[in-house]
Amino acid sequence: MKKILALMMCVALAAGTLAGCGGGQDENIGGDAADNTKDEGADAEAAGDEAAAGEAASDLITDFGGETIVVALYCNDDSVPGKDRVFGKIKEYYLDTYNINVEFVTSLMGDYTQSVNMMLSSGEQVDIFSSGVMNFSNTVANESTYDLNEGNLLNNYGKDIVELIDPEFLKGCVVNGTLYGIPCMRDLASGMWCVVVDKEYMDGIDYDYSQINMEEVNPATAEDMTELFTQLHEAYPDVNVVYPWDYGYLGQKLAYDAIGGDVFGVLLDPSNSLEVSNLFTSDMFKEYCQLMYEWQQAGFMSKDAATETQNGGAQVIAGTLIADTTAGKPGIVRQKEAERGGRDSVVFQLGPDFVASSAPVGAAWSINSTTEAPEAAMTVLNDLYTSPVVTNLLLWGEEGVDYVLTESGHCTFPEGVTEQTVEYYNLVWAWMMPCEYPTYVREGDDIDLWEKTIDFNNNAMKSKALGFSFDSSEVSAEYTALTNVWEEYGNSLVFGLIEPEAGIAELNERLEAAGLQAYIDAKKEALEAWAAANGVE
Amino acid sequence: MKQTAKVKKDSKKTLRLVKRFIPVYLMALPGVIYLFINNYMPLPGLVLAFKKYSTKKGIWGSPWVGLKNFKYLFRTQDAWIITRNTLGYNILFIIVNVIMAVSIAIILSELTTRWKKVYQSTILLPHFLSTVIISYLVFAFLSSENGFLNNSIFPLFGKEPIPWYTEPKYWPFILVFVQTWRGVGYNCIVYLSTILGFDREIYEASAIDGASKWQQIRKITLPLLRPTIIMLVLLSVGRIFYSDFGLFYQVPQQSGVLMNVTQTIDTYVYRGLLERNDMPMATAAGVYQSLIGFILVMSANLIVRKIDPDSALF
Repeated sequence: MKKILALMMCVALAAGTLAGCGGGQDENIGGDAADNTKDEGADAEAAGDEAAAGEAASDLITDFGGETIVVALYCNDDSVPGKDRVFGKIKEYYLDTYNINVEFVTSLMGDYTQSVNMMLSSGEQVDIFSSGVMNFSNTVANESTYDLNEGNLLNNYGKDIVELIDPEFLKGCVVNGTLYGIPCMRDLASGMWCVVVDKEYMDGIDYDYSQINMEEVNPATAEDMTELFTQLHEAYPDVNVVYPWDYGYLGQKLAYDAIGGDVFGVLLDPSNSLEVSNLFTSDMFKEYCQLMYEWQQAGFMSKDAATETQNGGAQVIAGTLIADTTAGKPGIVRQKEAERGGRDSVVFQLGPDFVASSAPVGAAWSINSTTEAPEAAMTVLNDLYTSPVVTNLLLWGEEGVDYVLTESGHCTFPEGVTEQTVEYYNLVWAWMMPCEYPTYVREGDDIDLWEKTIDFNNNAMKSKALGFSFDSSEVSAEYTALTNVWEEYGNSLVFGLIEPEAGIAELNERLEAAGLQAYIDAKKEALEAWAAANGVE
Repeated sequence: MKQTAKVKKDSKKTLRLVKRFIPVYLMALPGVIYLFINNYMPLPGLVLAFKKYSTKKGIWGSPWVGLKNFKYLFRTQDAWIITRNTLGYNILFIIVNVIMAVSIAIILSELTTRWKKVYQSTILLPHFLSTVIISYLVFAFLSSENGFLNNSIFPLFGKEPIPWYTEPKYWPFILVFVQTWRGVGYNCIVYLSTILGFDREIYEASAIDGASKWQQIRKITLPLLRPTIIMLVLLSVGRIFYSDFGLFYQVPQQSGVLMNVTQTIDTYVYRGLLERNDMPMATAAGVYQSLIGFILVMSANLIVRKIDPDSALF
């Protein structure tokens, strides 16, 4: 019996290996062939475009002959019942206007990277996806993104995008001189270090609201917060006062610029200097950890904060928390109140408004490098950014069915329909769309919310390295090691669970051993090369 | 003449054997197909570990980079900790699991009460819980603020609360305990069914000769069980370089302070590559793990074959 078993295993193994090899070769040939045709196709198209660019604009393709374009959306809730109906409407719009057949594939935010990666590597058709959500520099390094200036593609088929987006932000998606994505147009700046306090508890300590603006953020200092928290803690000793989120949100508090998308080597004075430094030896980081340690010692924070899995809003609703932190932007007060089940909140801001160099790529949208119809894809992307019809369908659904407009121009639910019963709502949030500016504003928000957002972006302090991106694949061994060390110490420090002096020293020692200097040097070199090429000093 | 006759007879015999086993082959077919699709078809993808991946060029068209993708596994001083944890915990798991599972199987087989089925199901139940749920069960016991141990048990004895999630020294024990609690029911099924398959006459004969229960277990059950134990241990040795990801990632609630004792190769790769989606590097880790597993299972089998040829797997 054993012999037969052994024989069978051998046969299975041999067969498997042979078949594996055979399959591999087939695939190889097939892959090459497909590549060739695609390359030729791209060349031909590029040639066509160059010719087209030389001639009058009217020579551009306006009827795409029913070309299918697949858009991968990341969403908040992809089981919304009215999804197919609304996607049908969007498809109708594109068919009527450009004769393009637009298909959507949706996945939840948390699954998006994986499912799009799967589609990209299996060769399944996906033409437009958010490379920013998937880690922009890595997606570019994998050659998954299309050169948007090839054959003047963006200028020819993305005219409205060119008009919409500040070139300075567009520059943020350029890697080695090539434009690989379009920044997501939303709040690119963020208000550093915002603390959101539940108003009910502030009422309980008879807080003096005379200096407080309930609709917007209120500037404050760390001392103010400590004072407020002390009073809150005295009045409510059983409720945790503040949850500052985990170490991944450190960039929402301190105005350093995590150039290249990671915290190993940052700009400490991003609006004035391009000097790459170690964040973890900086005073900024030390002071922050010291403050958190004091807050933890004073009993403001949960001892279990490091293992907390509920977000701040859920904890406030559950009645176990008074305040959490966030990144500020216009309309933040209403957004946080919505997150907290409509509870009134007061927002303080301890830092400046700041645009980090990675903000433009943060949620950038790209076209797949293997797309067969880049012109059609660009056309679709153009309207996803700028067409009020497409954007409002995507965000709100059908007018009259899923939403109605009030006299003031706000968006609200139709008579007899509520948030619970409406067929299409919350598939995506406004900030998940390529661009939120053409959409209607929700009832309760300022009607000029998007103008305010644009001003907010324009007036914020900007990093000098805006447009720099870093391909870490040459130092990936260091990167992996550093990430693991930072994860080991991050939460203990930002939740004040270990004594900062000793903790930071130990963290730095471990980071040094993991190759921090080599990593910073690589970044420095890349930044200097980038600065020289782009004329930044 | 004689020779041909023999060959003829032999081939006839083989044919007859094949015919006789056709139903068995047919029964095995779905499993073989599954094995082929799931375990053999992806094998060519291993080349990804030696490439710089480009979705544009595809797996086969991407350029070769040699062993570069493996570098990160050995680059740091953490490499030692990761390897120690992965191997150490798995060896502990194997030993504890075998002892516990065999003991429980023997106890269950000796029980005559009608509650036997209830016991067996209760022991098996944790195996069907998702690791995330288990991690919260553990959290319910160990949490600093609301945990059962710190708030209900320790005060009874006047003990100070212990901040479990920031004290690495307790975790080797906690992890082994949780793993055993979860896995032992499932592991003991195989032993139990083997024991129940033993010829009862041997036991009766020994009882007549005056053997005690303890002697029966030592002299009859354990020796008969040996091939099964060796087989199951060999199978787990093959996976000794893989760690139960859920156990090491979820159960410590991703507490950074504990990483020295909870970081294994799987969690290290996951944490390091989560942000980067670097498929070649992830593949490299997989190749490394399978290679070590392969070598270990081959050498373990070799040793077994030297000592006891009948118990070896192949």
